[in-house]
Amino acid sequence: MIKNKTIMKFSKLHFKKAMRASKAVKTNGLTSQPSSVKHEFRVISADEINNNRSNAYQYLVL
Amino acid sequence: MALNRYDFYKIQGNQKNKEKVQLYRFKNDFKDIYIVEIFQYDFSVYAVKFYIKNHRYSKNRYNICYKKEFKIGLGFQTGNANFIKVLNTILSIVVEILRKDGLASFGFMGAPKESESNPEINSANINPDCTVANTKRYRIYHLYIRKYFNPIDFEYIDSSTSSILLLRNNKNKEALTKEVAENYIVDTIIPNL
Repeated sequence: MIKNKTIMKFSKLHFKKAMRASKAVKTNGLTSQPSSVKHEFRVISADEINNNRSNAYQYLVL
Repeated sequence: MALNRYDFYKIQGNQKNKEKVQLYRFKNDFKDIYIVEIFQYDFSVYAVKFYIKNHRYSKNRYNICYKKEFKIGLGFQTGNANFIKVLNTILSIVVEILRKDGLASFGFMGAPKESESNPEINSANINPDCTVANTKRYRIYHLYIRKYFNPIDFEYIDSSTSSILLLRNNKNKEALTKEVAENYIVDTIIPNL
């Protein structure tokens, strides 16, 4: 009985630690793996941005 | 420029991750608290992520959307006004970071909706590295960002296959070239998503 309680306490503690760790570690929930995916990149030109604009721009003044 | 946005403030978060991630929070019209995570990488690249605090322990926290019934139950027809205000709030946080770090570049990833990350529904767009091509959020962020970021100040480095858009700050173009940025996204950012 005592043994069982100890095991329970330990598992609770372990669970809490695991929860804390999951708070600290950032993940996207997606278990991404290195792979040979070839992602396509392109630079969007200013002309393309201006031509395909759906609404009036309000550029940030920085 | 006055944006219709929520009031936000910076929070401490986990001290162990303090150097890697900055946290902000704000409350929306549905009385839900949002957590905004700003991850800082090399070359002053910042990745912006956000989720509702109630979903913080969920592995799908970046993917979950409000259910229609929930919005109607609160007396809203759609969540559009809330969504725009959330984006405006994120933009205000981005501006705050830009004021602190003049060389800052920003990465936006349109996280897939739960349906988009379901292989049974959307297998054609799901990549082996778990990124999802051309997500709805990516398309919306794209349109939104075009409105506010001048292409003279920022170069738009776009990857629809991974639903990532990097706004490369042109003040930092010597260090963060297009090739460096591409390799950095593929080798560092995507594996750490």
